[in-house]
Amino acid sequence: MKAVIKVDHLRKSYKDIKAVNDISFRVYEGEIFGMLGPNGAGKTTTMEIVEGIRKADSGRVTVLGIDVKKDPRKVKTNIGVQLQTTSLYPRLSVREVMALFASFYPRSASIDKLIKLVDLEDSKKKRCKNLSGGQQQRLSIALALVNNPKVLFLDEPTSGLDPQSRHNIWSMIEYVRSKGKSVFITTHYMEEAQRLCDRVAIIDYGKIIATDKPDKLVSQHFQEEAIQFELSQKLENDVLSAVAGVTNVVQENGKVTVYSSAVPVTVSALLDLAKQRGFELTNLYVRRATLEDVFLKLTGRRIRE
Amino acid sequence: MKTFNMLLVANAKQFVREKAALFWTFLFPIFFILIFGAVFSGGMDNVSFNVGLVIEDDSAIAQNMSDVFGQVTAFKINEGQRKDEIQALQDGDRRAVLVIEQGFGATIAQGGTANISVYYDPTQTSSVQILLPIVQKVIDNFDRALSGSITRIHLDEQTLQSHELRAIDYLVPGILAMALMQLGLFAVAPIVVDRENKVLKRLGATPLKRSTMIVSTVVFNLIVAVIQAALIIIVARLVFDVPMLGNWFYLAGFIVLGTLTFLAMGYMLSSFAKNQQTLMPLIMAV
Repeated sequence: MKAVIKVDHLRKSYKDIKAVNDISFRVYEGEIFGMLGPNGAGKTTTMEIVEGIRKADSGRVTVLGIDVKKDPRKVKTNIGVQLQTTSLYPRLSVREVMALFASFYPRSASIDKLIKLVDLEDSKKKRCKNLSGGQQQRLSIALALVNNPKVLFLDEPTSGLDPQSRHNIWSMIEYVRSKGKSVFITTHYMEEAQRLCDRVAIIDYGKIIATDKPDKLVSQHFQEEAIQFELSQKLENDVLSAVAGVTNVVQENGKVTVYSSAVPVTVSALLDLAKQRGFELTNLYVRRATLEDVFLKLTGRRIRE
Repeated sequence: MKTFNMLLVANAKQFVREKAALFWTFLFPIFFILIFGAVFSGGMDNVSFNVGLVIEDDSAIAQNMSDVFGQVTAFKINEGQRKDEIQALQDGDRRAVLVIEQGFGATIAQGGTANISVYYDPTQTSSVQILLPIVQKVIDNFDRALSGSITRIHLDEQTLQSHELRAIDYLVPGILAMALMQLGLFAVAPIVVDRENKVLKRLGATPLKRSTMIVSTVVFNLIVAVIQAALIIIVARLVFDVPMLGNWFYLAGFIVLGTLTFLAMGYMLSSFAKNQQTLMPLIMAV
């Protein structure tokens, strides 16, 4: 497979904070590559360096074979960018903003088709300030596609949106991939990374701690499933670890997650323990392990505190 | 060039669709002129003009002529030396100075055409328009009584610019300057807002050149400045009859230079101000 983005040993510090600390990765043609991590992990900084709007302290970045440091304008001509916050020209209409952005590029896609794609046909004469959050986000995706780019950069595209808008945007992104474009996306939503991304890099404190397909990441770290419940009284981790089949225990604000490779055995043992000690198990459910669990295992904390 | 035009149009649309900006840029200076103009123009209605009279000829006919001028009720005659009276005109103490030139009597006696010079300030259009016809009429009457149909006395018009201007005449250039200053300084507000809202960052992610962007904003503001100045001058002329002294070309030059100067200052301020809230006090301080 052909790599459209190559990042090698990227570093960037702000004063004494290492925002990006020796990051290397590849994004291949036609894939959705996700960077997953908590706020402040260095996702946005990394992305903005690759886009050519921020300068790295060291390291090498090429996009579509172009060195970002040497020719940022050429990179910018060939990529589509959506930034985290997007309030654009409040008093221009959707169509006017699109036409304006199209004029920045030597070649542009059909504006009307793009408006149709992001489902803004009914609002194309609306001023930007009157758009809803979801509509603004869709407009900013349309703007990122206005030059018909080979690589699309999306920085937390569904942040703060309701579930329906989120699903809309996911299907747009999948459509973009179906056209053979590559998508580089950052997110702090586990669900988004798992559902949307072909490959995910988990990033924390400026370092990539794991990169793979979402399912592979999960199966690599967990052969077990997760059993979650709440307890009416506090139990020590040791007590829970001793329960049959349990391989790992995480307790957070009264919520307990135990990982087990033999769920039926563990559940019945837990119920026995509860009867024996006289406490109650509530809200018990069993689920497959997710990227969230992987993150928890690798970093010892949840992605969203 | 296409990008440049699109940015210019985008700027214009953003501007025109903001009612508040339109008000402050165009209507406010005009209100200012109208209000102050109304306040300061109260004293303009007295019909009596201070007129200086210089008699350099000692003939009887010159004496007669001066007596006739003295009888004009609209004139308050001050007799004096040419030098003093012209100085008084320049200081704004006279509306006009009439000079009965030396040899006035002798020339008429010989059948020639004698000169009476009138000095006035052409910028004082309203008073000159009343004053000059009166002088002309008086002289014509005198002439007719003297010689029948032949013109013996010629009115020689001399224009002199006085330093005295009406309050409104001062006010208009002041408002013009103030408006340009405001325009230049406040013109950077949208840029600071754009930076705050990350619009500039988004533009930075496109191949758009910074120079194109900056030049387009500067050109846009120049256009606004010229429209604004034209409006102020037109209103001042139409409503208050404020004269335009000097060269239109220079005026245009000063408008452009002034706008550029204050734009430059505005840009400088915008680099200190993190957001709009900190920008405003900075502008006020300037």
